[in-house]
Amino acid sequence: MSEESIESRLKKMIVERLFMKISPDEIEDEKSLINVYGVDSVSLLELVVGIEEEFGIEVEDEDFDVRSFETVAALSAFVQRKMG
Amino acid sequence: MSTEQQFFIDDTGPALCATLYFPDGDVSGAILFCNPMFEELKASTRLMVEAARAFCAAGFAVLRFDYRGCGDSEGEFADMSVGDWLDDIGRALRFLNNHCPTADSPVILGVRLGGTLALQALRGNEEVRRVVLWEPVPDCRSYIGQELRKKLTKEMMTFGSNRATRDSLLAELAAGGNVDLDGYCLSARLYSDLCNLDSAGMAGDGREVLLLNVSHQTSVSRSYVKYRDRLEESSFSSTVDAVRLQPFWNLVGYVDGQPLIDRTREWLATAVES
Repeated sequence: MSEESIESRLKKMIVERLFMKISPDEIEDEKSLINVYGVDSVSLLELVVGIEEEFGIEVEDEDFDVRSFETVAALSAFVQRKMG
Repeated sequence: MSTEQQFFIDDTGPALCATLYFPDGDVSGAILFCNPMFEELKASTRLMVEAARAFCAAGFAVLRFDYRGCGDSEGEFADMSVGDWLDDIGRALRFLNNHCPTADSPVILGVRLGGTLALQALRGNEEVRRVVLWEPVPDCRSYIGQELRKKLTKEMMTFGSNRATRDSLLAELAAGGNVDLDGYCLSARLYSDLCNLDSAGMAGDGREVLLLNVSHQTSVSRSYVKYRDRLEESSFSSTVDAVRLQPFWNLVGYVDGQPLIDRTREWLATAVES
């Protein structure tokens, strides 16, 4: 059984936590979560908490850089970096 | 026809803005709402109004009020302490009892930090035997930490990255300074008061509690399982359920809170029947 990709886990988590009315597959890796999918500052914090729970990592205050949260691809790179 | 009256409770302290929902016909009970704090109050107001109307239609007299320094009540938020707000809950309860003398013992319904305050307000109050908690704050220190994180997230959205860190903001509070949370001034005193709530005991004394965990999940989170244990250790008789609903206290947009209202009404009806 193949392991689920980080991107796929992220998309599922985003749709579930933000109660989005789309399927996880519809989120495109490179499209802006903020401009295209309507993620705002409050839902961004929900995503930060979601990432911590889903991947067992801690998002430090110093990690709060909008470029890391802009797209699923950027989030995936961030998660991989944090997971070492 | 039920009525809604807005007025000020100005008995023994700063005037508290309040709304009383009074049912048509027999009053089957009375409910006092304890609001959340900071931005969560603004985001929760509409759902609380809808809940108050729904409970009123089910025969309950309902009182909603603003703590001093909040909403339309007298006072400055920056000057307030937890003790002030516990006093306000007591005043609102007395008001409700005076205006609904035929009702059974009143129920307190606390939302978020309002739930945490409600549990403290039970000390020395034998009248209240039932409490409803909507996503209460189990750990005030962590709660403030999350509020500070919200601040950082907003800075990140505005400036690209945050300008402070939680550590620097906490250091500011520890030095006796204030921190701005979306326009609400969190004073060093209030921060200290809130942190002290974490170690304050709770006086369950056999009271019944309905705790509703509101989230994207359909099962109760680990933190609320632990919280239930704390409630049981403090002699509360608790019912803990998960309600799958958006975190309405965090959202600017409308959230249909019907599942939360329905579950609460169901529990209230069972309690009235027994």
